[in-house]
Amino acid sequence: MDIREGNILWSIDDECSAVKYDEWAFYRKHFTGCAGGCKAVDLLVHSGGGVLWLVEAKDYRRNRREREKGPLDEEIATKARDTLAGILAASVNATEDERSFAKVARTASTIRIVLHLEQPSSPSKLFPRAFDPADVQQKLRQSVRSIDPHALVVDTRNRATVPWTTKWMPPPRKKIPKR
Amino acid sequence: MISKLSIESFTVFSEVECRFGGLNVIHGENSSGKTHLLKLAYALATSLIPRPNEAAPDRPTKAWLEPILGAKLNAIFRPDGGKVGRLVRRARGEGTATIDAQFDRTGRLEYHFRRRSDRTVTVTKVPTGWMEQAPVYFPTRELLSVYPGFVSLYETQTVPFDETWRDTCLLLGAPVARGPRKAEIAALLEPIEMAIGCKTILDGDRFFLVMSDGAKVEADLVAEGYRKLSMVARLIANGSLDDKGYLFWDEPEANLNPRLVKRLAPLLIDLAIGGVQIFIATHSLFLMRELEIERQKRGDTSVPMRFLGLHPDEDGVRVEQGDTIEASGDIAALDENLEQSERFMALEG
Repeated sequence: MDIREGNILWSIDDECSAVKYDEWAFYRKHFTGCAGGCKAVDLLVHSGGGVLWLVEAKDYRRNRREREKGPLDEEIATKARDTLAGILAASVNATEDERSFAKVARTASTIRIVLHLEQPSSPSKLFPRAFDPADVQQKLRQSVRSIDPHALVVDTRNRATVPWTTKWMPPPRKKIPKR
Repeated sequence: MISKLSIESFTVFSEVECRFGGLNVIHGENSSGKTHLLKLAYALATSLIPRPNEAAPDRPTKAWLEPILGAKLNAIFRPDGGKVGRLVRRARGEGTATIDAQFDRTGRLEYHFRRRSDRTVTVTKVPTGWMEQAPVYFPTRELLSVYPGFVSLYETQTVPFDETWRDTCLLLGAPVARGPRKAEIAALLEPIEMAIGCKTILDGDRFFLVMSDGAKVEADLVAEGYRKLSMVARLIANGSLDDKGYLFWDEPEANLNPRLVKRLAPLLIDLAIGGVQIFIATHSLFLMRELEIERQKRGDTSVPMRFLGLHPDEDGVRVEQGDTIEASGDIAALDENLEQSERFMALEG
């Protein structure tokens, strides 16, 4: 199955099921305001082996980094924590489709956290990549150690060991009509 | 091997307990106490090696150790007026510093001293035996170029260097080992000599590096990074870094380019596998990652690695530690890299 999140297209392996959790009605209408405000990761992928993947996408090819959101690792850790709480609540209180996915997700024996990080496209000798993925991954592993000590940072060129592939697919540029 | 070191009210430390393995990586910001921790552990280890001209008892005794430990603390930390009491952590009240080290073969060495203490300490637990190998301490800079005449200068004049410099110079001057260990030493030496492309020799009172074409170059004339690795090569060659030995190395990465730092990681692991207990204090994320890569490459559980993060807070320095870098808390160099990325991204925006 294919899922598009912004400019990134996910092709998820057949044995997996996946949802855009931050678009769930349960999250948007109810859980987002819980306890003063809850965050959400972009995707949930449940693979056949009982693994629940929490996936957050950050695409800086086109989008500015919003520094007011705080350090990247803390942002992802907060989203992961809130999402896990949201899944438990949804498995009880959400409507049928969302509830049934949440029920299955709740039975996962392994939780993995993945940050999909697309770098700004402007190259620089001193900053060939604005964020060094090794730095981000090491910091993220510290922050989410109690959930997933082997959290991953990937991009469209680096598939790592995840049950999906990705493509960066920006919308076509609008043609300016000739006069 | 030092397996545990508990410190109370000593310099920046309020109360910490450090557990050590074969290869110990200590990280933390400036002024977090990395060098103090290295020097304190070194002072303990070197106090348990009687000098050749000393009429030491068969095993350590309280009466023997008390003046020696006091003298070592003085010579290594150089408190003003030679008063070890100045090393007690500043806090209200009388103040007593307590140091308790656990050695895996010989048991505990525990001592304390008060703020009013002058030159001696009070020993409360005595280990059952001496160290088998003199520990080695490398300061942040190399010593090959200061070696000529340094020991006699140190012993006859007042010079602004701590005793680790003298001790290491003495070891550097020891003759190259011969006999049955020669083959094992050669195996350890080969990669390091390949990395620096030369051999280290002592000719008279001066170190020279002999290049692959046979040219003999004064140690002072080569880059400091090469001199640092040559120091290690010399101490391997003369058997100072050998089984049951200790290496305390403050910022090994200083003045080494990344290519040499990359060579350093397998060398440290090889030494640790060979039985040398290693303590390094570092700011280098690159070196820590090289060590982790090397460990994973070898699929290694043969070297128990420990990571200790020193984190200053209101109550003194806190230690976070474990078998993985993640267990040792925030890494200053990593945080600064990420902060720099954020600042760069802000420019892009």
